[in-house]
Amino acid sequence: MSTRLLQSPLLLLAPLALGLGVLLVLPALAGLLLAFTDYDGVSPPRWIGLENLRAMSRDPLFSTALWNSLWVALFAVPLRLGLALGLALALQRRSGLAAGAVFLPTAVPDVAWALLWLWIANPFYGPLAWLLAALGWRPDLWLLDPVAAKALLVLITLFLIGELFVVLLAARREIPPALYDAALLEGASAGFVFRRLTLPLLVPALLFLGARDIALSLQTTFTPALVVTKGGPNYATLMLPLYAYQTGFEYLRLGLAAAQTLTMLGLTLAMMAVQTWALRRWRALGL
Amino acid sequence: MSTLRIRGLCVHLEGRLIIGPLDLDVAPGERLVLAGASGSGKTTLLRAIAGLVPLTAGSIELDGERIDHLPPGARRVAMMFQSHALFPHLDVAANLGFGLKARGARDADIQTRVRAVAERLGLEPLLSRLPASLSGGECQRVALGRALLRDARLFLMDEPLSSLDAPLRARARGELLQLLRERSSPTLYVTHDQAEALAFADRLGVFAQGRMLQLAPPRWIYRQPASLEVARFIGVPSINLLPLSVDAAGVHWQQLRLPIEAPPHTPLLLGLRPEQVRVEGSQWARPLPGAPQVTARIESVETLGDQQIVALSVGTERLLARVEAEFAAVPLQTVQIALDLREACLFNAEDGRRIAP
Repeated sequence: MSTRLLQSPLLLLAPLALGLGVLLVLPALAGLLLAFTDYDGVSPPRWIGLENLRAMSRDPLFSTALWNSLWVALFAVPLRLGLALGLALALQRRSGLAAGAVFLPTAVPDVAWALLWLWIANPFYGPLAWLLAALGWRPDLWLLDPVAAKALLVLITLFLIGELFVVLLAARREIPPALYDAALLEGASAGFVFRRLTLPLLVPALLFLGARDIALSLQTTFTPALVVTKGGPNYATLMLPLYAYQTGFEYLRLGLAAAQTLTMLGLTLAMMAVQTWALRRWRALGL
Repeated sequence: MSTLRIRGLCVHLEGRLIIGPLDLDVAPGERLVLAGASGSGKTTLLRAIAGLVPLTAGSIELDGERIDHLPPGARRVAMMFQSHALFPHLDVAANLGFGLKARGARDADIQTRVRAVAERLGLEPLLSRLPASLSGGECQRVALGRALLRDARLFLMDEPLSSLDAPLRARARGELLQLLRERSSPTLYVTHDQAEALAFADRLGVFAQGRMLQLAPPRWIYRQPASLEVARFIGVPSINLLPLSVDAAGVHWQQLRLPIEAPPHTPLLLGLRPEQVRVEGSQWARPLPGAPQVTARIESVETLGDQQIVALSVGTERLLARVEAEFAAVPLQTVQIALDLREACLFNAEDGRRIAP
């Protein structure tokens, strides 16, 4: 093979393109087709048109899963963004060690992280129970409380903010120091500088991360919901991806599961559209 | 009427002495220009006075009041930055009013004062525009407007015109000069542009390695540089430095005996500005009785519009002369040159200090 051919960009891209094609594009296309069929994984798929969508709209568990996912996103996303922003501002001049500590939990594999929380949240011997007891609060078995169980999922994801943190840290460091000098010389207080300078200049990054985080929260809750709360109590932590997984691989209704996944994709695309629109509006301001 | 008084100022960064110890007085309404190569510490000095960099020793007084322990916002000092430091997300009006709002002024007051300054600087049509849509000159005027609204006792200007192109810079310099003349606050102006320094300064300070090499009116520094370093830094084209030999027979440059006195056994350099090298036939070279003369060869000629710079060689030495634009200088031609030694400077070649006059 000539060196010219070896250096061609197409050839260099080929391994990744092949992997993406086999592992992502083909299954996605298959999923798209499956969403309009009745398929149990054994007998051949049968075309049923929009019947899966109709079944979904009548399924109370689907609306529960949708509601749960939105509930968790509603609390988790602002809290995660706020926490990441606070840490980025607090640690922007520190060494890499502190930043590394913030990023570390994000580098832990999902399942290991979830198993760790299974121990932390154990009402009998977990450290969370000790901590609450030390504070003089002995709640009932919180994993039996629907709101507490969802809150636990939010809490688990609050530690996985490494990527948000890194992007916000970079965005903050991008703001020219002269702007802060100018504000300081004008006698601006720290609060004024945050409200009128830092926050507005971080809005593009925050909008982008917010939209991404909402889309991502539809997926990242899968592992803790499966491992820690198992969708319970009483479906309180049944999230969309967990429900699609159960529908597909436990009840073997693969066609319906594909339709549910497609709905998630629709939600994600809608959120990305909102994000793109908001960013365009912001760019129009000349930033 | 504000006076700036600095005593024993030192600044260290990461344990290294960047500035000082420095004493400096700037009178009310005076424009003091700091010139120096980049990295000489002039910007750091401005930042130290503004309170953006901590002092390790010394004091800063404004109007007899110590300000070095005050936070930057309480010093009532306005600073213009090289980058203009306009807030990219705020329109021109909000940029101008930023400081007033930060200090809690009422919206109606802010509007009145911003309008007044905008009118003065011709910024009214731009008030609702964002900085990204402004030209360099417009950004500079907004930054100036913001500084004027500060009600400052001292103006610090860190190369505020350096981002403008040459014709615009000359005009902006004129406007800036006029505005500063109307105010009684002293101004410290940092630049590495000599034309700007000479045009702007009441007094010029040449700064290198955190020390003031010389502080005097610009004309004085040009004529009587305190050291070789200053002599080399000020003046375009730069000064001619001719190595002299001193023995019992007198002072010589090449074979030419010079009618000057010098201490023996010291390596000497004679500093001659290009206009002090007089080329025979040039209208600018009026006869100077007693001036030492020598034959030189024209190596090259550079035309600058209103004048020409002629590169000459005498033996192995090269020197530059300034002649009028009309002078017919032909390369490789030989000419007589006369050295005007009336204001020439003598430097000790070893330590760089000026010996005479």
